[in-house]
Amino acid sequence: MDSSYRIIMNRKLLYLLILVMFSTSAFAGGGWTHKQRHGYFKISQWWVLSNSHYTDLGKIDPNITSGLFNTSIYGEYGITNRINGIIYFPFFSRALHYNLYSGTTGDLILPGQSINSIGDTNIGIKYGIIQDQRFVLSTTITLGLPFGNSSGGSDGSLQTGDGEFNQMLSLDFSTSLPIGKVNTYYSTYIGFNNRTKGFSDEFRYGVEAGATFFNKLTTIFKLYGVKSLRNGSSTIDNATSIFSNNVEFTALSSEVAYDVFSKIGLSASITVPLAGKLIYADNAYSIGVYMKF
Amino acid sequence: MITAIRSKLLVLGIILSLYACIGDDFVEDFVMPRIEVSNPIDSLKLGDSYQYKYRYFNNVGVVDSTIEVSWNSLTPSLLDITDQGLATSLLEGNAQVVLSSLSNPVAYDTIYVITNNFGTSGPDLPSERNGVIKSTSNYLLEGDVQIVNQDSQFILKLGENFMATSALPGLVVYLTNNPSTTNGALEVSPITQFTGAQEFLLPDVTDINEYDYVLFFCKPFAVKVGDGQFL
Repeated sequence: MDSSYRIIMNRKLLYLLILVMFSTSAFAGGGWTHKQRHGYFKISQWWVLSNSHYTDLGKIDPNITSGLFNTSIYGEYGITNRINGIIYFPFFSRALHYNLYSGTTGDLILPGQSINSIGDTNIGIKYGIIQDQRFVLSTTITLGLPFGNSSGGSDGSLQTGDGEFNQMLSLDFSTSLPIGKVNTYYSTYIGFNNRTKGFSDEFRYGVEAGATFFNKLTTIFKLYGVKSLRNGSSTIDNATSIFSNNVEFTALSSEVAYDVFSKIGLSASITVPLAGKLIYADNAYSIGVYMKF
Repeated sequence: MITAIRSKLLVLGIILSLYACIGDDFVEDFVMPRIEVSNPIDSLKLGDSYQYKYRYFNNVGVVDSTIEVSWNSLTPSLLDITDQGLATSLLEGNAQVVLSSLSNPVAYDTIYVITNNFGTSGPDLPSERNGVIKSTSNYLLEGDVQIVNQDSQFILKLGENFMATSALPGLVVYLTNNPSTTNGALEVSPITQFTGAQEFLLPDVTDINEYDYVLFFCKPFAVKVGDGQFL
């Protein structure tokens, strides 16, 4: 592999990674639902900056450094004891590419660029099929609204959205288990994401385990992934849409949340891609402030 | 407490904002500078004059026409040459001329010309140059490549065994003298047919020796996919 280029990443890869991660976040509540008029609200910053990506064969190649930064609100609200509303709204999304200079002459070869906009937004309804039991089960339907820019920058390659309306149906199965003074929980989920405009549908899956110490500090580990069904069009018009089609990955995420006050806390997370196809090969990070009510 | 948290968040926000600025990447694109006579001839008739031309490729493989050069005849009794490259045949024999860069003496070209009574004749330039495309990435790219002179019309030909990935957006073929970068390269065409033979007209090419490499790049992401050298 020629490594002369420190890659710039493709914006779509970034975007997709973000989308997937946020979609995963949307199920952070696992199989439980909030009681009526109770909920969870979080404002956070998520970002990834990458100079390498997984190829279509699952190997890692360099690219021009690219980044995606999303500032978002995420909320879950108990409409009833069994029905929750969910929203993920990236009200500020920034995608960028670095400048590319000649290492020999210092001349600018390719100027960097960026776009700022709101990002694609998810809204969902979660229904608690089995609640108030040792094992809980819920199902969620999530609508992916293409509010972002799917063709920004001088060549249309910068994105804060994929431009397609998708619908995802998922199942979350969870249980909790106190171990001494530590409360632990375990969840797993599967989902089917129906995508439009020629994008392949996706199968999503994940497992998650968390532990709360001293009723203040919670650590969460997630292993999750996306598998493309490869049933989309191979000739999508958008110049970079192929990158957003047939994306696959497996990632490991670790998150720490600390209740600074009884209802307000801080969280931070890192997501490490373990394997993938047509997606960034660098870590993603997030920090946020949350409120429980 | 709230004020302290607010201040820390503000600092964090500023740091993140800076992190979201457009940074700089650098590509290692050095190549050895070289100079060449671009219109050599095989023979020059006694008493005739001939204007030589040259091309200088700088350390990133881009033609630099501002460079100062020197022309030296190693056989001044047979062939005289001016500082501007105008050669005049004086006596029969095998003459030798050295073209060199004044700023970079490492870059030079030596040409040979027969001075005789029969006439002036150009070199037998090849009608085609061939190469083999190889992937320099983890994407599929392979096949034969040719640059062909057909009635003074230059054509880039990809062989029947050509294969390229369709997973990349904006795969583009270039001609270049620096296989590490598209800087200074001639953009030939997007690749829309990922297998099999295909041809591209090269209206901007005037010389079969003008470019030494074919280069494949994912243009939107500035990712080099592979290259091939014309021999």
